Amino acid sequence: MTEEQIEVYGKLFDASAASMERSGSEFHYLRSTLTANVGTHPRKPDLSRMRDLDNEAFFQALFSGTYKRLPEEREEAPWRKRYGEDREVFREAVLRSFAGSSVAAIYHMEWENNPYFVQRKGLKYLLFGKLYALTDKSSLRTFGKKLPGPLQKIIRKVFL
Amino acid sequence: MRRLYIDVSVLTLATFITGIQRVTREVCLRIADDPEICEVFLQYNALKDCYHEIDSALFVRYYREGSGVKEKMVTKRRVDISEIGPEAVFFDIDAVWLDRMKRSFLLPQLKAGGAKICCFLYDLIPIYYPQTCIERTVYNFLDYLGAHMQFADLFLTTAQETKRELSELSERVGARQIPCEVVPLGSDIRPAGASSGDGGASFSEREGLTDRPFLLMVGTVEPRKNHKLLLDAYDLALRERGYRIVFAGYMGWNMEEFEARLHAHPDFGTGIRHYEGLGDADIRDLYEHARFLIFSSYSEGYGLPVVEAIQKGLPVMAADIPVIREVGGDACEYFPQDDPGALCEALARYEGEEDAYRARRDSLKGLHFPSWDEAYGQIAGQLKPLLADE
Repeated sequence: MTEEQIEVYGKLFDASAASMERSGSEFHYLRSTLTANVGTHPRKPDLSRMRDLDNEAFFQALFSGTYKRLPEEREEAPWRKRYGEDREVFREAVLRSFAGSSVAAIYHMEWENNPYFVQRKGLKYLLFGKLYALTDKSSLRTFGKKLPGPLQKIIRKVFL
Repeated sequence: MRRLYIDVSVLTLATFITGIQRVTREVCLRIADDPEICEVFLQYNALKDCYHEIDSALFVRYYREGSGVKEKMVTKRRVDISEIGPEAVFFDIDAVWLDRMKRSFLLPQLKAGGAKICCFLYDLIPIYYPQTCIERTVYNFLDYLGAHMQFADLFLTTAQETKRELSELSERVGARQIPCEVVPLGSDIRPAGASSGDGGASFSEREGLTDRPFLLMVGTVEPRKNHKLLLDAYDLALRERGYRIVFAGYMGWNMEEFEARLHAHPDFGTGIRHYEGLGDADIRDLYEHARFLIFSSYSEGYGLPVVEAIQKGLPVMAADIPVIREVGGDACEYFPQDDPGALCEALARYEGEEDAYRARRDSLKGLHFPSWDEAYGQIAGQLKPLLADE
């Protein structure tokens, strides 16, 4: 993706942020949160795109690239206390934390151009997606509908 | 003839149907019926990171007839992005900014592979009124919109106002001007779909709504729709004047304060009603029994309830915003969107003036808004040249 193409997204952010400002409000995330992630594979945030970001911007960009949503206050608060830390130490800590998360395992996340560590892809990483599918309500419903009627009634009474 | 690929992940994974899913459903059902279009409905599986084809016949069965199991319509056939190439048109009509498959990644690949891309743009609310949206929706929408502004071949939108805004925005962000056509949405509510209760009495009768006039608001309860105005008007004067107010729509985001106020109101459950998850038949019934539809949105892409109400002969009082002026025209009466007193005054003109009210209703009879079949005809009219072999 070219710089020019990325800048279109940045300018869209600016336009939306200007509307927010006019309404007396503001976004809780930075422009770079968007521009560092546009065009990358949904499962492969690219750390080289976040090279020049400060700790706050890096956290927000990596969070949204990994989880495909913005961090909530309770998720950002503990990291905010560490924004003053050494850049490289902070980055590695955030990345290790995200790499160990269930979401990263479920969606088989990988981080391109990761200079900090070789990502471990252990049993959790390999199996979590499958285990997660078992807890998915829709697959349970399909399974439940195959059970005998009286048993379905009991399950509905107990769980629904 | 090219094949038409449509990502319907949000529609098929949603547990309930709101505005955009209704449009996607109605258009896709007609695409599936159209012998001139060879469609491939897709669902993105985020766990496997791939698209699966949806069985069109089962899709139609589920969404038109309400029969079958939703999960079973997803086939095992994987559709690689590379399949959507020169012989394909990719049509984004669903609320796909909610997908994990972000468009800034997908669309450049489709374009490089030779596919044509068409975007059904409902509105630009996250750009011009982001304060009324969930912040993360705005974030995801910017990715979606930025990708389409750079890679789409055609935009379809539902109002000249949105077309104008898109053109202005393209210039502002340095994107090219992509052809954009305005198409309508359908105003008819499907006859299929049973009422939520037993046969016999209508929904309004069963709920005891017919003993006094009620004012109806239809749509997800969210900040942009400005439900607060009707509640304010109720407290200001409408309660004393014998009105009941009815909100029909899911309780949406950022409405905690409103929800608390609603539930704590002494008239909640009597003079004030809130219904979630109503089917088409019940909504149709509410249109038939209400005194007025109140539509107080700060911003809209089209205002589907406005045309649905008018088509059912229900007079509409709407907030004075450009899109509703464009879509509803003289068929609506307008009031300033932040003035509950003005709404009360507008309603007062018809109290004890049944001839005037009847004349208002009669004036709607001759009006014609496109049905879903007619709206689809116009949408298909824009898609087919893209689908045609060159």
